[in-house]
Amino acid sequence: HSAILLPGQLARDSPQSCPAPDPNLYYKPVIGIVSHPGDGASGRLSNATGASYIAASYVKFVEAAGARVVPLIYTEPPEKLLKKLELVNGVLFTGGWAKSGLYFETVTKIFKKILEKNDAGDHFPLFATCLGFELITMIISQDNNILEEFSASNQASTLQFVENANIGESVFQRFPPELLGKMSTDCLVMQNHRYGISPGKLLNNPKLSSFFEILTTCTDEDDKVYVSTVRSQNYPVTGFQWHPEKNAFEWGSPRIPHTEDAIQITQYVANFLVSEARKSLNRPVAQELLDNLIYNYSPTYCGKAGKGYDEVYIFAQA
Amino acid sequence: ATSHDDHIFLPSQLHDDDSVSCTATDPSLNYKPVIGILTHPGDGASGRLSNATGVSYIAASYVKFVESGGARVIPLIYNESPENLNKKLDLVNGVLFTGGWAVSGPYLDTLGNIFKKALERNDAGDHFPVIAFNLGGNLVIRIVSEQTDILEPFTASSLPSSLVLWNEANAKGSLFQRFPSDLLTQLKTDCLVLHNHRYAISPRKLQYNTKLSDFFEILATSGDRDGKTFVSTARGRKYPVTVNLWQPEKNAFEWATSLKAPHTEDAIRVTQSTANFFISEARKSTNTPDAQKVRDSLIYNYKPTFGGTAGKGYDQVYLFE
Repeated sequence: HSAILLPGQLARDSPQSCPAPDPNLYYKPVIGIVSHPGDGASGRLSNATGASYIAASYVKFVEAAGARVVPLIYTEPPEKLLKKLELVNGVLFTGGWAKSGLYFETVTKIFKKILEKNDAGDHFPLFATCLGFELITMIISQDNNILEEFSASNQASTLQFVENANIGESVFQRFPPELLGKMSTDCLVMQNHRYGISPGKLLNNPKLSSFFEILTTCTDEDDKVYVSTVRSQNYPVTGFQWHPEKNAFEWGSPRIPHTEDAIQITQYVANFLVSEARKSLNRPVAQELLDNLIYNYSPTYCGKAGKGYDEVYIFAQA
Repeated sequence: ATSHDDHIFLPSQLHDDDSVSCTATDPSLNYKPVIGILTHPGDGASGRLSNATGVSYIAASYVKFVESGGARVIPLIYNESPENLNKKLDLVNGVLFTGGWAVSGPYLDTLGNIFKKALERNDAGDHFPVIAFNLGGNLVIRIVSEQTDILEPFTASSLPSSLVLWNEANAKGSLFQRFPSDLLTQLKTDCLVLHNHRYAISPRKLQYNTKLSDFFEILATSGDRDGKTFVSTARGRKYPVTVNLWQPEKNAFEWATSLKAPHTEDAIRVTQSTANFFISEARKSTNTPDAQKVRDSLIYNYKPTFGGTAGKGYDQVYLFE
């Protein structure tokens, strides 16, 4: 090979200055994730009273989009939880099963605080996944019996986009058109739930229909239609009945889609959440934040036998 | 506003939807890719975390980088026996060489052996990608050139920069082909990549070295603080080997202030696009190891240590003692 320098390389590059990023945004965003009762493994890992967990896939999901995580441990006293909320720029409610008791009360308090923060002018996003979405449906409708049963456990599915849905300002705004097309024909999202809400029931409930816009629906194994993605008309709140985090980060079920398109869905959804968090005006104190990061905890390997969550963070009362 | 008293069904809800069947995935690809990451001597924190003899580490940001692209990780512990290392290599679909500082001794020997093994795997017909960052990239350049003194000093520590993309960046199968076009445009003007190294190779030197120019084509260059140009990304002409002097994993996953890593959304997309490229290459590997042997060897068997409690250095590291 002749050693050929391209013309552009004959002149030396001059040291460049970096264009300044948008000063209105916060480039060190932090997301609070609420822990869920139990150890995520039916007691195999910890049977401590008051144990709670966060599946590590939710932490990885948030971190992959350029944010750090503070665990919001649901059993902690309200004052402590509120202090931690002051360290974060958004919140994620995870999947799980608990729909009553202290967990439901804590989620309710945090949800109300999130709306208050937004009403006070701090853009403060909430992502609610699976159970998280079910819980805010119960909270907003003020009806603890509003959910319906669906056959959607351990199932990969398509998403059907609702006609005239406003996806331009939604989580789907960043998705390339070709990927959006594939999502309605390929099974690229993971469902794992026994409850949900049908479009008819959501639209017929004044509180829910004035809060949420339906973006997508899905069909369960019995051909019943349920709401699968929603966004709030007036708050930066997005609800998913499906699990965006599992595609990249959970390997325990062979049903979970892991194609490159599936991985990109995880990334685009996470990018939206963190881009919303960058709009937050909150600027936590650096050392107090470091002391509360998820880095202070170690994940436990849960999926060595190839089932369940791969890794979980367990929080046990001292 | 819609009337809340009406029971409004969307048109598509008036009749039962048929179940949608799933479009089949490409059967020639491996959807459970596993990547080996070579550990580096020390604890990554100048002995603050562990002063055990023989300790080695992987910065957790490399693990997160690989996992965010849809793969799992097996640590390749550099001072394990060759037999153990070879067994682990049989469980993976690609290898990542990290940054660091070790340029000689058992680390270099192990990296060299793994690199040769990777080329042999490709020669034998298994598409087996290698990606090498920073020091890893420099060591691969030394190995290919068979010259230990081929690298040149550059002032590129904690240096965010843009990239000058060469025509070869357009080539099919190159790293940058995986980047969305709007991101490629930003990459040329904004400082979306972080350089953190004191050695590199100039394009002229790479092009004049027969072994290097036979093996590599240059995809991108950058300028250091003194305006000198160095090769920033190069790829193998005949092997799925990518050398990156910049460190895509830090944009999303390392937060020490002194590092100066960019954390804008576009910078995060650079991390993701690079990970997507590498893992898409690993999915082409035909290696399908025993599932339980993989699970027994995964990085999940180890716990990361918080190294950045004071806001300096790596945020988290995996230690191997």
